[in-house]
Amino acid sequence: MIPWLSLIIWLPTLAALFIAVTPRHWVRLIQALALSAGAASTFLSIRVFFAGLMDTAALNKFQVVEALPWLESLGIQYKVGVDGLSLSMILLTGLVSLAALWMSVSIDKRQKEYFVLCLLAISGVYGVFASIDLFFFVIFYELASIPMYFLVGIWGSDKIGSGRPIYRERAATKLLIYLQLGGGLVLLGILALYFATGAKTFDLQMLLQTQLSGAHQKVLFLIFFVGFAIEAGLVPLHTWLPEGHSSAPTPLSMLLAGVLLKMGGYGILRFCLQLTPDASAKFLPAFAILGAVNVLYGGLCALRQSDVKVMIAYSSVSHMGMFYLGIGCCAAASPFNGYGVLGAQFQLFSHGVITALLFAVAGAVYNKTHSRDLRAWGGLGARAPVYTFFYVLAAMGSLGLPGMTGFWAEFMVLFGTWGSQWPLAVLAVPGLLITTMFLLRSVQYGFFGPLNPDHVGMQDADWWELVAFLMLATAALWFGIFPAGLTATVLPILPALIGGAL
Amino acid sequence: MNWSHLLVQFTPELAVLVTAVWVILSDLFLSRHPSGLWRQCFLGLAAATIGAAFLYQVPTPGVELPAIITRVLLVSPLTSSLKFVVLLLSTLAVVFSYRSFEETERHAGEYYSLILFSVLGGLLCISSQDLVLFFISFELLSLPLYMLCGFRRYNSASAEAGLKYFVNGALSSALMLYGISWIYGSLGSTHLPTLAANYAVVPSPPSGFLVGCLLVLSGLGFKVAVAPFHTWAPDVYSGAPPAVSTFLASAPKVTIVGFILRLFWQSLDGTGQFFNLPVDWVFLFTVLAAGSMFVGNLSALPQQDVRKIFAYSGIAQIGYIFLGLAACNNPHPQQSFSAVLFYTTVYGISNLGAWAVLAVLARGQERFDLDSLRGLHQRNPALAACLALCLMSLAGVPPLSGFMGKFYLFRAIYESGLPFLVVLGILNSVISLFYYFKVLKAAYFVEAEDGGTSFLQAPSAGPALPMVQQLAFQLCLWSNVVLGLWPAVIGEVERVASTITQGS
Repeated sequence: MIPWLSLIIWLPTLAALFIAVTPRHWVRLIQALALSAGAASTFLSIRVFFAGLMDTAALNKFQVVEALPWLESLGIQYKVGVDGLSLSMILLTGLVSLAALWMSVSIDKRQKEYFVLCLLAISGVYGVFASIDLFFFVIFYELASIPMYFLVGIWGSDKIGSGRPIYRERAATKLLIYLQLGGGLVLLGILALYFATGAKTFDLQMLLQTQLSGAHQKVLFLIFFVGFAIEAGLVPLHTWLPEGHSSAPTPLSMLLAGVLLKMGGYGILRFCLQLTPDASAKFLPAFAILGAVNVLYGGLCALRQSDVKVMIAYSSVSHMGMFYLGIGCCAAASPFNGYGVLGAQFQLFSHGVITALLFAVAGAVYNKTHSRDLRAWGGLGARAPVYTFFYVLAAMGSLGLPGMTGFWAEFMVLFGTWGSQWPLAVLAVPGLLITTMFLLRSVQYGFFGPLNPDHVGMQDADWWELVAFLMLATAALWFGIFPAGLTATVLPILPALIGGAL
Repeated sequence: MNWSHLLVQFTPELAVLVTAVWVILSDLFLSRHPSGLWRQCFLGLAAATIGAAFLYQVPTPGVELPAIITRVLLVSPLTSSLKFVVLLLSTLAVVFSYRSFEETERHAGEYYSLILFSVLGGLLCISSQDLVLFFISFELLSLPLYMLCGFRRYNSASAEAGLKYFVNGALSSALMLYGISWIYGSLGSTHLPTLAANYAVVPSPPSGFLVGCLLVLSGLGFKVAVAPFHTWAPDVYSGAPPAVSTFLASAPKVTIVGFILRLFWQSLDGTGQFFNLPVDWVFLFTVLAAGSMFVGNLSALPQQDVRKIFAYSGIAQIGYIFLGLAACNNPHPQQSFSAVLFYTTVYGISNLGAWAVLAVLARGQERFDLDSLRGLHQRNPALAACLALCLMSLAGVPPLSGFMGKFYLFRAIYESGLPFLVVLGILNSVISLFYYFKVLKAAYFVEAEDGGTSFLQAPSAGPALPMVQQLAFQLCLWSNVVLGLWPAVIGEVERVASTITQGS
């Protein structure tokens, strides 16, 4: 039997090792190695996704499990597998990481270190979504987040211009400290889980079968929730996010917004909802209020920005609010509650693909114009129809146009919220309006209107950028038209998350 | 009585002793050539390291040693493994000393023989069964270190470091000797097993014994620079030549932690009681550990001198080790024991690797502020990579050895019912990221200035490091990965720990 999941996880690392011993001026070879490893992983993840889609009924349990003994005296083993919760996340990682690698072709300095770190981070993200052993979960989690420090700090860009400047070194340090604080809390929670269940194992499959007492659940829930919420941008803990996402180089902004945020969301679904269901039912409705705050506050902040990357970063804060609203429905004894959680999971995928596309286009335009200021762009549609097309497409997806994934995610979340906590839904709907406002405003400022004379000679998209755009746009449209392709994988696991059938 | 067994059992010590004497004599009568002396010192230590590894791997059961030896010196899997680690660290430190600063060339014989005598003292410390022998070997360990710290006698910082270390070291020795005299006065022996036997027949714990134990602990605390006995460390580490700090920050610390393990832990029972003394040992070690972590980490934050950052980080790391010592009422004491042992080893190697980068850089520069590391990734990628992995390991970044060590430690602490300390530990490792990554930022973020003050003019044209140093850097670099990911190492540590807990 071929260990598909392990191949997906470790191929990028293998490529990173090869790149590490390649002379640094053989840039083409380095790029080719990175891209072929990324493409192979993506291809395999699509294969794993469709294999899972063939037999969705089995997705309530971990499939294609591979286990290797590692440190038995501590109850640690290397164990990977996918279930309904992680299957779409693996696909998302595949799409976003390959698109990010294509966008990385534009990186023009220190490519060797760049690709080594980038591939390690991609391995880490795959590993987070695939690992069933919690010890390895932590290792992969850090493998995904530590390289970000260097990637943001070395290859990033500063925001200088109107408003408060954001320097990439500061942003990188902030990102590191926040993510590590989150990681530290998760580590603490995992140790606590190890002892609280009495199972003395880090095997998620075994831990899921144990019953936690009410007090343990509450403590564990809070540790895990805060830890992951730092990563997933819950409002009082989100401040690293706009700085980090906007300072990062384009491909890294895509990875950060596209999959790293999703690690936090996935962690909340996996650890809080699945392992501590009673505490989740108790606390999450309260945290849904913060979700509504996320939607409104993130939207208002985005409305205020003239820097396009900071704007997109705040739009991520706003959209992650939808996720918190969705999981807030997990407790209410209403027939609609399942839709909230389903929508939250859908939002992870949808936001990942669409925001990655937004960042990709914005970053590509930045490479050409050397400006991130929307007001300095002006009328690019006349010179760069490809960029304009994909930016508008992504903006439409992001503001929830029917036919793209964003619509279904927001629809399901609001549907569930209306059924369980209607005041929050009422609060959140203006958020959608704000989203529309800042996205359309950015389209108008940046791509329509009179052409800025500075950009008369601007080139349109390079072919590798087009490949990246096409991948992400296809996914956003495909699952927007056939949302059942995603929901079918989540539905089998949904009873385990909300304590009952949909 | 079979003398050949004696030779076998004490191969490491004898090899170090012979090399030390040989280096002196060779310096006097044969050749004063620094490379030659360096090579002899390195070969002697390498032979001793291999000997220790051999002793650890191939125990010699049924060997009858003369009673006069076994009374004062112990050979067990624990001592052999500790000796192996200490010798490995010393060998590496010697490798990195090569031409690190001017005096290693002019006074090579003295320099290397002092290191060798210090190592010999450390080895005897680890093995000693008697407090008097311990004290003597402790002094043999320390005295050369005072001289080494002040080895650049025309450099005021180095002279200050030597003097400061000497004064503080003398104080710690005095405390320890005073403590030993209290122990002798209250229980009538300095021989550790006899002490335990005497203690068993005493009706109530003599208070003098308690005073003695606390004084000995303070003396040891001075030596490992645990807060509040740490005040000498930043000045000494930053004043001493970096090559000396490389040695000072690794091998002697492992030695002393090893002896603390033997002195305090071997006598602990499962309930965390050390000889039934009316002291809350958990609380005592917790205070030392938490104080050390916070003092070290918070003081390191504003530092601009890389040597000071490393010195404070060393204080914080000792805090983690004491955190493990605080977990002494673990229902499975071997867990805490092996966690401390593993973490100490990891700390020794990672810390040595980080200092070694400075030791090698010291060939061309006097200043060690953060700017002096600028562009290191271009000037010497291998050095930068070693620095990066060692510091990330110390900061506890997975999957490196430091993370595995911390994880293992935290698990033992949690098991002994102190989750609060785990929170402290995690909090501190987040704080420590800030300054560890500040160093890495200096080394990686900025490109080297062209024609600046950097010592290696062109990125590729730096003086090539000797092959042995390059290999040693690779060893330090990869040890962070291997110790973190190869479970067999933890298996070995657990095996050593189980021999201890079964023995007591």
